[in-house]
Amino acid sequence: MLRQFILSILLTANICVVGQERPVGAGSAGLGGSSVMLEDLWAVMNNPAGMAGRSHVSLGTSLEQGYFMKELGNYALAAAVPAGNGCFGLGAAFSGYASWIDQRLIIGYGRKLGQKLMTGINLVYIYQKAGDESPALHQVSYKIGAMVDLSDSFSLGFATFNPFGFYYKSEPHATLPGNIRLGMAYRYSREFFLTVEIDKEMEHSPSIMTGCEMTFKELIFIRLGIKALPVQYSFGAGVRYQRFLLDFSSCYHQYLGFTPLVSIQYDIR
Amino acid sequence: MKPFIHHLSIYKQVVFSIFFLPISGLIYGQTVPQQTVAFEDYVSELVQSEDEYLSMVEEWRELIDHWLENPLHINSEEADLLFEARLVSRHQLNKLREYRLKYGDLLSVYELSFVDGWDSKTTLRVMPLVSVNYREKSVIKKIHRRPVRQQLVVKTAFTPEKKSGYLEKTDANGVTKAPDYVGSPLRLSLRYDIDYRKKYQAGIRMEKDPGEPYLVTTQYGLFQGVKTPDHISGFVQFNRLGPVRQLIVGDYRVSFGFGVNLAAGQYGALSGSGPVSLAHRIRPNTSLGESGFMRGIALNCKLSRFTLTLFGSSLRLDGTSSVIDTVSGKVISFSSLDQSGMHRTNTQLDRRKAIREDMLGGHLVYGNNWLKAGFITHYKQFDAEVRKSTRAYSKYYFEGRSNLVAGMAAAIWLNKWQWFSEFSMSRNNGWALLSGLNFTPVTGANISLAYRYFDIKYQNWHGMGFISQSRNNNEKGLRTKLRLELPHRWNIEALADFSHSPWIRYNLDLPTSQFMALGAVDKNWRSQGTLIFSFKYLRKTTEIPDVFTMIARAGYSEQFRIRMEGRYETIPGVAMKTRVESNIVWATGRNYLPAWLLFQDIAFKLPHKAYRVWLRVCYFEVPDYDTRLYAYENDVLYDFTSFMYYGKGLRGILMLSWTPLPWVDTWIRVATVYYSDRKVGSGPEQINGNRMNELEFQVRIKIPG
Repeated sequence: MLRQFILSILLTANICVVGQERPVGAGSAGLGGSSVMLEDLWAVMNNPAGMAGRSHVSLGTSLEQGYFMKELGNYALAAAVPAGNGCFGLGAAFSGYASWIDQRLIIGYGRKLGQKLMTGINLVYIYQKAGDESPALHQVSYKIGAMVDLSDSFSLGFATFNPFGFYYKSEPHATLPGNIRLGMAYRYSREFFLTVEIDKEMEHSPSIMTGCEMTFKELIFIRLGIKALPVQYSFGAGVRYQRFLLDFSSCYHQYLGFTPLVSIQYDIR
Repeated sequence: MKPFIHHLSIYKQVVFSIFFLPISGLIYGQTVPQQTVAFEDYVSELVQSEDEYLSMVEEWRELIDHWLENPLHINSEEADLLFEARLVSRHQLNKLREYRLKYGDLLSVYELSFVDGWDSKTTLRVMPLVSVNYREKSVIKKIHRRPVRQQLVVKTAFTPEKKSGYLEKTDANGVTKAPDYVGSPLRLSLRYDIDYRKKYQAGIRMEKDPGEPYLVTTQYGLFQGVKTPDHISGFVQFNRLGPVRQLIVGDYRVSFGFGVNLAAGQYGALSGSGPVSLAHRIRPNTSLGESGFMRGIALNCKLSRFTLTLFGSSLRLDGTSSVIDTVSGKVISFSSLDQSGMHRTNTQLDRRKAIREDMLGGHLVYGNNWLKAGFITHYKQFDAEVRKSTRAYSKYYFEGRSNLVAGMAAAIWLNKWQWFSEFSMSRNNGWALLSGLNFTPVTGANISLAYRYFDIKYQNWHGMGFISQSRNNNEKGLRTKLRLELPHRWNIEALADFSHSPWIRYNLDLPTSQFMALGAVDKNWRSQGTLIFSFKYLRKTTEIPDVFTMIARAGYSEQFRIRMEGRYETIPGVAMKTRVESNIVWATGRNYLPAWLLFQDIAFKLPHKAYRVWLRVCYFEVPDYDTRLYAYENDVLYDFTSFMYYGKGLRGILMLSWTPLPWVDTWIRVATVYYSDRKVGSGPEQINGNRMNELEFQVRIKIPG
């Protein structure tokens, strides 16, 4: 009964915020949801500027089970292909169940401009369908992002999706809320960094996320994070083994419980 | 001593020829600092996000824009203008003079960072606005080849969506009523300036606001019955006519003292770098603003150590709540002046220029190296009676036709100490005082303290003097400010201001107090960027509404405004700015939700390219009007926008400027605002939708280019 109650609340909320942008990848989730400053494979979907510095082809998948409920699963695939001074990215994300489908396809390109600036742009196609009787909804928008190194220690970044509200939609009633993410990273050493990020979506109050990551011999990663407004705690770890990178994390909401995430990445060097 | 100074001067020239000249050659003649400079870098201290200040900033912006394009000559008397524009303090100006005396003229603008007392923030702000002698010589030659310089700027702007004020309305009886606004939604403006060897200058400005008719029939005064553009303003200025330094015929502005007696477009007395100059300057009205200037003749003479400024003005203004003589059609009395400059409805057109204001005034100043002191007076007369409200708050307001205000102002500079004061008295024996001290114990540290007293009875339509409210009476207060420049490019600023109003004010039926504290910490990296954290706390008395007892009960409100901002140059020519701002208000008897604003700016100005691009993406969520936020927006040249954020939504701006020919500049600006929780605007400004787009086009033609 409780499970059905929670599900009904969450799905109602989900329908209200159709097209909501959410960070992808267990690494980001372990840092409280901070994603805009990360240069991992999932930058393909989180901040296209973050893939500009990639030097080898990578493939990955991410699996998320919201509060251990199969109806709230989010699954994603991503690939990054370096080309010249930049990197192309391809991503796909699926969420929902039989009565509610949200699918996205992303094509992006990130490029370094000088030593301190990385920029990127994504073209995002969204397919949504609610129930059997409603027509399928097709929307096309874009995401732009940048990351800047202010000094050896400080970096700033931003990513904005559908920034001006001008986008293609197949149905006049459709809405696609934009969002902006602004973040800052402080690198204390090669082994430890701290991120602070703020995420504002059109229909929602801003969320503030902070997280830290500690690296041991570039093989093991430990992450902790807190998301405020609403409060959510997270932790995670990652292991690199040759060409594989395995990340897992878990987010804890005080009323809804745990959300586990797993990401697997394979680098073709 | 002199040979030693001479020796130093030669030594310095040799050192600079070795180190700086090759660098300046590489960086294309000192143009690098200008690339990422935005007007906001200068205006941030001035604006402080308060809407009442904004109307006065336009002319100041014009000045900065002009200097960005035509830098001041730092090795000449033009350096004094930096002080008058609040960019440097008196102490810094004196140190610059001392430096030039010791080591000779500056050979590069980068040398400013070596001047004692010039902190990095001041140096970075001033560098793009000034040039050294090399440029000056070439400019002089150019001026002699082309003695006449002209400039024409034409601008148009419009909103494609129809506002309610432009639509016909049908009442309950089915009768169709004409639209509220009588004109078209197009905004048009024109500026033309001509200059002959910087000795004779003339200019004309015309403007039609959205909703105003293209031509308006003048109903009062000399030009009765003549059709003219809604706003038309012009001037002719003569410079250096013997002892007469300036003579202006037409529209002009005057700035006297520290602004207590007479402040026409003058700002508060304390800037970030200490108190501003004791002003005794007249300047032509080059703004498109429709208030705050005078019309007539003004002159400024210098005789030895004395400077005399005199002016006479006769200007027609808009009066509100006017009582009109039914026989003669003349206005007998009015309650206040409408300074909005808007003439869009028939009511506004009826009161347009209905009141004549005549003014006479002057300022005599004695000045030497350490002292400046002078007398100020002005007499003002309306051709109709000013009628005040019968409510208690206006008990001490001005009533009658004429007023006389007189006073004195003085400033003393003693090395590290500066003292400034201004006293003013109105004809009804009400008085006002502003007095303060500024102390610079060591380079990079500045402490200032200022006391103000504005009597309840004080009546002056033209005075200011950094009071916390819009009226310049019924307030006493104390303000202190501290600025510290710490090692590793950390800067700290703190300001505290306490004020008290013993008599009731409009909509506040009780004595009120206010305390404001401002703090800012910024960290600069050598050339890449700046991170700024600023905080504002404001606590003030409010009135708790109580309709049953009819007794005013005091409550209070507290405001916490927090801002984090990063400005950084990523690669040469690409600058970014990020801001996160929140405004939290708590008030007795009222609940407010926090307000948020996030934006990202990107500016491109690639070296040697004829175009420039500026982009902003902004998300905001401001649930209550009392928690509204403001943010300055880049606009076309000579124009500026400060957008008020109220509601939930996004704002985006794209501005392109292009110079296709050396003598032609063009600007295109596209702005959009989208609300997810409301329609755009209210009343006649309302749009039947939640998105509003604005388009602006501007062309400037300069001869010679």
